[in-house]
Amino acid sequence: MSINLSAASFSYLLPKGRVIKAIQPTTLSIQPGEFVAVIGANGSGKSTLAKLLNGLLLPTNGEVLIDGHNTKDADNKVFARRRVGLVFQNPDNQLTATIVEDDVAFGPENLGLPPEEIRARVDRALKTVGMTEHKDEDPHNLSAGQRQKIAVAGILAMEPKYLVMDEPTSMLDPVGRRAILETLSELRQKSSIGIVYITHIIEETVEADRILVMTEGKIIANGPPREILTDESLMESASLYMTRPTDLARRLAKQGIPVSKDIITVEEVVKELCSLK
Amino acid sequence: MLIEIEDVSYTYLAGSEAANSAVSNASLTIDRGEFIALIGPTGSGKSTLAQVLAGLLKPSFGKVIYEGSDIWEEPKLLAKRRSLTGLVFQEPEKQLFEMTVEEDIAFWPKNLGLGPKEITTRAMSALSAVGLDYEQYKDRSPFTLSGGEMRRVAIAGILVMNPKVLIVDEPTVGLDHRGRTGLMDKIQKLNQGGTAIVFVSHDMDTVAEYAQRVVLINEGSIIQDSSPREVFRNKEMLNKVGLDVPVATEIGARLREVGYHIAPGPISVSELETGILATRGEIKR
Ligand SMILES: Nc1ncnc2c1ncn2[C@@H]1O[C@H](COP(=O)(O)OP(=O)(O)O)[C@@H](O)[C@H]1O
Ligand SMILES: Nc1ncnc2c1ncn2[C@@H]1O[C@H](COP(=O)(O)OP(=O)(O)O)[C@@H](O)[C@H]1O
Ligand SMILES: [Mg+2]
Ligand SMILES: [Mg+2]
Repeated sequence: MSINLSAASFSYLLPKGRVIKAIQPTTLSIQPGEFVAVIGANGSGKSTLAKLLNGLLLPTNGEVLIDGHNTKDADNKVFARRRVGLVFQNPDNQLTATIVEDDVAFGPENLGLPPEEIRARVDRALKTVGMTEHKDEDPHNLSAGQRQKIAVAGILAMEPKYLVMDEPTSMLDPVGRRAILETLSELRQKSSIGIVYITHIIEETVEADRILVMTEGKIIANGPPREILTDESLMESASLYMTRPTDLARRLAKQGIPVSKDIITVEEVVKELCSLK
Repeated sequence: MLIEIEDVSYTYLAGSEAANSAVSNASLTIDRGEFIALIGPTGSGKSTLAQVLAGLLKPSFGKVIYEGSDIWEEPKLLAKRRSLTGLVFQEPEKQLFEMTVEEDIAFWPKNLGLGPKEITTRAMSALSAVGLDYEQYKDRSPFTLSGGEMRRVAIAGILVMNPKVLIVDEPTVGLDHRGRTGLMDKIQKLNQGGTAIVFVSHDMDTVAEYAQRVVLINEGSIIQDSSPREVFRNKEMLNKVGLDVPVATEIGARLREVGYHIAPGPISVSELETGILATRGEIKR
């Protein structure tokens, strides 16, 4: 059981025969229970990779298998969408209904669940993202950040086995962002959900099991957060930034204060300085 | 004073069952050359207030005054007065619609009846202000650009009107690190050239880095209007409304808790670094 890309590539075909190679041949596996963060510059192929993972795009060459089911096989389309929930980078691509709770219920309804179960899931998902009080409103009348929360709730309510989230917190305030990340960590403890989490906010990746770094359609690094986030030349070459705790630790080390250069979180920097006191 | 808003309220769908009061009794002044951050949790009314400031939404109550005159008093003069401000919407890609970058940027100046020569001069300078080369970009379709480039073209389309107040609504969302710092540095340059900036954001670290003044809005009401340092002093209140302090402020506060004698309230990493180095005597080697 896993999502497997084997030498999968993807090219967008443009008018006049132009081709954009968005994903170079890539071999990759996502296991249930894993939290895999994906970082990389704009245009590096993150969103295209996300859409390959749930079969929304089919690889130009190579294969994508979701728990053994090839996404190229038309019979597997429904299976793929149910097994792999995708939160789009732009929530407006996802919102369909004119009432918030109907929108969130859309996915579970398509799964053919009994009404009580749908009700319970919708209520839970709305509570998770803090939008219960807006459940009767029209999503089109909500602020952009609120629409993003609804889009996340809609996918959570499907309780997919794999969750692919494309910059799901980009428009949220810090507390809303933390709530989503806490929800994901609870989900991982309760179930064996596999999560692929795309973000530009490097601080959100420090608790991932591993991080994939993308540039120009290639995964150029794949490893645990501490290894990736403290690799200055890697981060620089991928147009990424070091987290502020890492930045601080390095500045202090340069000034002769004996702190480890491998720090990635606020807790770690405080703990180290505390032990020097 | 460039802009004053007095006791402004805005209600969406007023009179209907779904009426939603998004801004209430807000008063605010914007002066020449200021760099103001407008912060608040998701749904607090930032985008609504930004549109009221830009003269695009007519307040349900209260006044919007540009350089001394009430812009909604004489609707005929509205368009002319409105050109004092320029608003770059949240998700400005949605605003781009012309076939080429040049046409897109020329849209509003054309509408105002400016001549082609004047428009070209302005378009060149607007594109260069956001760091894009006129010759290289003018014939491109906006839809083939990267997210960061589109965002810059959208800003150029506003700058071409030479606004004295530039309002940018979450301009860095979705941009990578290079795009974000590039854009913020461009906005800062405009500010140094005299343009007043209203920067709407959820990113406290960026706010700390660039803003001179912070306006905090919660549930439609302005609850604080002071220096970044002052606003970021109150972590508890910020957390309560859904926001946070910058990372450097957080680390500084934790270090004080464990007994480091560093100055309170650093808001940037370099300030925090200086503060920690000043306590060298307290650190074991
Ligand atoms: N629908 C599309 N048509 C043509 N090219 C596209 C399309 N979507 C993305 N691309 C191109 O594919 C490349 C990868 O884009 P994307 O996967 O969106 O990157 P990211 O999510 O990392 O910003 C970019 O060069 C982008 O311009
Ligand atoms: N077009 C609209 N119609 C009705 N209500 C709206 C509309 N746009 C925003 N609102 C409501 O106004 C409030 C403030 O929204 P907004 O100004 O977009 O907040 P922010 O930008 O701080 O996230 C929210 O409760 C939102 O639901
Ligand atoms: Mg993307
Ligand atoms: Mg907004």
